[in-house]
Amino acid sequence: MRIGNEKSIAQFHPLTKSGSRENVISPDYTDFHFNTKTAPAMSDDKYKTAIIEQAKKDQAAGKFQSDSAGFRNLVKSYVSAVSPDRKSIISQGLRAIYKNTRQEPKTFNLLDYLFGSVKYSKEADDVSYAEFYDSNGEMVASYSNGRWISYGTKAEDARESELWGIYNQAWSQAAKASKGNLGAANGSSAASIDIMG
Amino acid sequence: MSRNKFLKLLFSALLIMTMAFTTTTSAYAATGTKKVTSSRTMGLALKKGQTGNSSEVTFRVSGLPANAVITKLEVNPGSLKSYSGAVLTNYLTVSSSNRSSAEKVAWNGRENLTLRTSGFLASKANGTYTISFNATCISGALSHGMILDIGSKTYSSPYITIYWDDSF
Repeated sequence: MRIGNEKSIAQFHPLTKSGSRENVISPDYTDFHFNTKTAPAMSDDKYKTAIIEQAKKDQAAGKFQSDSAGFRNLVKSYVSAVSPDRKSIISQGLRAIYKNTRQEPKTFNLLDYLFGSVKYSKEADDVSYAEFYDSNGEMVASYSNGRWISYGTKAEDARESELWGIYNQAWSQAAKASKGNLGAANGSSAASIDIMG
Repeated sequence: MSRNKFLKLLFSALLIMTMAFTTTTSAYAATGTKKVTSSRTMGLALKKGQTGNSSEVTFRVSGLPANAVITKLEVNPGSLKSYSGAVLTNYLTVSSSNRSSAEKVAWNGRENLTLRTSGFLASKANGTYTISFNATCISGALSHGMILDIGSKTYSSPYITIYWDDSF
């Protein structure tokens, strides 16, 4: 049960009709805010080059970080390489919850399974709340009354910060170079005026 | 010129120079802070024994330089507006439109407490930020001598403070 709601970055999925056994709709893993483990699209050196090129491109286009779709795609690809397998953790966790048909003495239960563990509250077949943990014991997602939240692991957070660092530096250098070019262009036009005069 | 007059003149000159320097510095200022307060509330109602996430409060941050990045992000969850029963706060969740996942921040539910995040440094400052809290209902509210099955908790006037820099 919860009071009110506002426009959210978290994913909101209303519950399915009552009577449906599984009331939880899985998160959308294509969303920028919900990563799951994906094979890296290139080597880290190539990623670094791609991040720098993206920064230069964005700077020239007057965009910065998440203003740019290219940047967001790059973040998703770069971070997902170290993401936990959220898709399996969540789907296996939900499966374990629904499979567990015995009467629960507690309102907050814990189940361990191959990919991690899940703490959850369930009444009859309705799951109102669940926390999903990876095999390192880090909480990777929570589900509460139709709303999913993805929590970054230490590895994901470190990788995203690393990307911001590379990008920001390249963007700043591109901005300085662009300013320098503009100054040089202005300087040469001033010189030509002098000659004309 | 007397010594006093000379010192006054020197002091005035120094003052003018200092003011000029300060003005120049602020004209090129590349750092700052922005506090955004919400008039919305963040709350939940839970059955006894249940855990859940509260409603969310959203902050829209705009008007900073386009390339401003966060150097520090603080969240104050606000005042405890209402509560019933024993609802134990577990943690605060902070997310941003510029970061791919949310951050879990340790918080015991104390009102007007400034909490510091760690996962947003170097991310773009302009954007949308969302907070919510997680809590467990230990005991329901007491009403007319009876303990009810539901407890609740609501915080009002939360705010965030963004420390930013565009000179990286």
